[in-house]
Amino acid sequence: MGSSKLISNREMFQMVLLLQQGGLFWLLPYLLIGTNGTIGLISILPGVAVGLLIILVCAFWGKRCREQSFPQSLTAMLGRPFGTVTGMCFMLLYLVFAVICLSSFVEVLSTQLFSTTPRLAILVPVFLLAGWLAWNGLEDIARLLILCIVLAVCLFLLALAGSIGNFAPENMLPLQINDVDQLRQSALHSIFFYSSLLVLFMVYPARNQTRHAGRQLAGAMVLSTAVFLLWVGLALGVFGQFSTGSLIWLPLELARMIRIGSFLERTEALFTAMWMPIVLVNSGLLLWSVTESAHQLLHKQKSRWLHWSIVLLAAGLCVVMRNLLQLFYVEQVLSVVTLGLVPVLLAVVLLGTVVYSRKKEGQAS
Amino acid sequence: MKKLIVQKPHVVDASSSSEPQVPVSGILEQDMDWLKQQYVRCSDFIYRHVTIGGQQERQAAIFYFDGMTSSDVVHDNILQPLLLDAEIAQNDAESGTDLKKYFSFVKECLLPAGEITIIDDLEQGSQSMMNGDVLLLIDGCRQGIVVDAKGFPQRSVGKAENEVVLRGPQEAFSEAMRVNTALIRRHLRTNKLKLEQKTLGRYTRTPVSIVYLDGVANENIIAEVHRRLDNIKNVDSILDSSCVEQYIEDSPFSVFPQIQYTERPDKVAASLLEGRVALVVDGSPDVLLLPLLFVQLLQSPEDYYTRLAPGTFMRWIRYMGLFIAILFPSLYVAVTSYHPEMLPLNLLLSIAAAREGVPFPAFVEALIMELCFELLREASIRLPGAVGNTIGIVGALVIGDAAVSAHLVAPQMVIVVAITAIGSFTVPSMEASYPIRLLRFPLMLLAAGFGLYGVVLGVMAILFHLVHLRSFGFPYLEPLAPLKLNELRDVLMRAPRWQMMVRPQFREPQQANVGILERGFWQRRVQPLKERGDDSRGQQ
Repeated sequence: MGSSKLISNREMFQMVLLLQQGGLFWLLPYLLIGTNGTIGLISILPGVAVGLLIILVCAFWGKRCREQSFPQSLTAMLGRPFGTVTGMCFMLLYLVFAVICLSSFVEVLSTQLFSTTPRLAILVPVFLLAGWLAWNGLEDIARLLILCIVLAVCLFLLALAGSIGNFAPENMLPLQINDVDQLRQSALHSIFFYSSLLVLFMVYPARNQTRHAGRQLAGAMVLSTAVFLLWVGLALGVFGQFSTGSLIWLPLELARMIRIGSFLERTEALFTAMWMPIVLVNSGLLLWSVTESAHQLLHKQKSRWLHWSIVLLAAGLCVVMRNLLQLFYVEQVLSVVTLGLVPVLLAVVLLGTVVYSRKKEGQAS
Repeated sequence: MKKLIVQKPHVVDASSSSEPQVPVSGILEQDMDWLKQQYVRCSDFIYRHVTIGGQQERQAAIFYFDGMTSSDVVHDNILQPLLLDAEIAQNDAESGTDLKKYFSFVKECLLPAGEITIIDDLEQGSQSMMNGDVLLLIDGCRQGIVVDAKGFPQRSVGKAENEVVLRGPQEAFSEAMRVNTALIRRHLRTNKLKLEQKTLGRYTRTPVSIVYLDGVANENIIAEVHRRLDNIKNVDSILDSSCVEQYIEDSPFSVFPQIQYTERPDKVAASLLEGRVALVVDGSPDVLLLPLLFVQLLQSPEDYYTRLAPGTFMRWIRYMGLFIAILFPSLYVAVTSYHPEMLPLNLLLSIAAAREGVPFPAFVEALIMELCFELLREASIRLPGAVGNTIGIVGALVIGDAAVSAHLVAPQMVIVVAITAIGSFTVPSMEASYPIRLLRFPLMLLAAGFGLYGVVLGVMAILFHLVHLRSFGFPYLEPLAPLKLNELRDVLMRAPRWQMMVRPQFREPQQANVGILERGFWQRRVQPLKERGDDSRGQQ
């Protein structure tokens, strides 16, 4: 894969923009606002910082190891055993993000829209589609991004149009810190979700342009954070911070407020349906990262068995999380693990890149 | 003395550099016997023994198929010169008794046909006869002369029936390849227009022309077309361009066509100017155009013959028609079955009242009506002329009205199906209407099972497939995915002509990255000639 230059800088920009709008996005507002109120929004800053750090390290690494894919360069930089272990850590993180992303979406559908439909019946088609998209490859995922961007913009405008009449800035007050520990916990959650940007390591080598994309990606991340804050701000202004804190699926609640004239109302189903492509593309990207890194770490050609086994594993993990409580619990545990793991992994990549590039320069001279 | 002035014909020396399969022996009787044996029990095979110029030592014979040649050409351009004019001409010519000189005299001075081909292989001569030419063999000469005398019956250039436009050229292709290539050349009067011919089909020996504009079309595509056609040389028959299409397309199991066909010469000319390649197949009034992008299925030549605003408006009507044709029934089923809260109260009550007494769920209603419509559509195609039209109208009215009266379906369902049908008729390409008709049913099924969520699942599956599909290496959804903003001016709207005439619209064809041209499945499907172990009869 290292030699296949498939996507442009613009498509990478769109990818980062959308990563924060996908399935992961559904859970974050509740985790930030739930016990903190409006002030909980500041706990997004650590996540943004981690995101920027990831982009920085990724751009640094990408500039020096352009011709190799990420797993290949890990083994080249760190040696076969240590590189493989590091690669597998990344792969597991991608798997975790994919599972959380899809689980949260399946949870939305099964609790809010299809309460009588068996969870498996909802889960299987979602995984089949996401797995199929991942199998088709990064190029196909990149091509669908523009559609998702258009949908994301439409959804936001719909929600804005439907809720602006009920928006009152004073509903966002008061701004006070109730519990520092809860704020710290929310920060952990935001770090976890922003760590999904680690997929950039898999995507970066596939760019077909030599101009580096670090600034663009950072800009995309900041923009998507701003959009996220707009969403949450809109909800806070409409529902107030106490009601918002008790709503789990914030975008869905905003969708319920939408009335298009006197003709169309209760459009949460339509809203969710329009959101689905974004979730599928995000999940496809995350699943692709898992399967692609697995293929490269195991030095295998593209194999249906390996690919669909991984997808099946991810689906199985989703099935294990039977309800929202379990999903939250798993997410809580993972956010703690991520806090320890992600900085270590980034440091390893950074140091490895520095040493490797110096070695290459030395060999060249 | 009467001087016979004979125009020297255009002589093509097609004597093969490789070993001929059945060489012309030079012994007329022997060659005649071989040909008679080949065409035993062929009552349309005609042979005539002639004595050139009345001289006994100059024996010859002509061979042709009755009905394939023009009798006037045979009589006036071949028999008369050989039998009557030869004597006159010979007196003027210094032909002597040298056979070689005599052969030259016959081919250059006696035969006033427009095209003459020299052959040394009786197989080749046979093939030419089956193309409507006349084979002339002269005793003692180890070469034969094929004289162009084509006169097989063919349909005249008519009006386009399937791609009707209100403004613009009305002519359509016919079955004769040469007529079709002439129609194309009438639009593109440039030496850059290249026509490379191949022969396909073991029994049909169908001529196929690869048509492109040199310097505009991508050379990789041209080479790939050659390669794919070469791999199907030894199939038994090519009866229509659709046979060629099915052999060379990238994804045969996809419901979406990857090669376009048209009956309009102006459309072919415009496509060639964009950098596409056309395949003209003898015996087929449909010319293939490749590569194909999805958006091109929604474009009509009329868009470019009308002005900017109407052209853009018609295009958007078509997009709306496409959306309605694919999604309307499934959306109706989804909303009425799973999401009635989305509808305004009045509409909901109206639908509920109309569905009172209908024993079937919305999905079954939709299925019944859609199937009835498809049956009517298919039946009206097969029935001749006015009967077909009448059956279509009466059938639709009667079935629709009767079904509503019998409370089998709700009136709204009839309206849904009617609007869906009208939407599908707005799509200008026939080949695009088939995927629409096919995909409606699984979408309805998904809507019945999962509501809007199911519809989105279906749409996403279709989208994933389209994004992955390629036509001769080009992404099928281009310029939407991957997004190319400068090419959207001919997609989202019909841009002014002065904005589209700077370079070919398709892209920079010569510089285009054609990408993956070979699909693994396609390679496995058609075994290359070398691996088959047959005698290779294909000629490069």
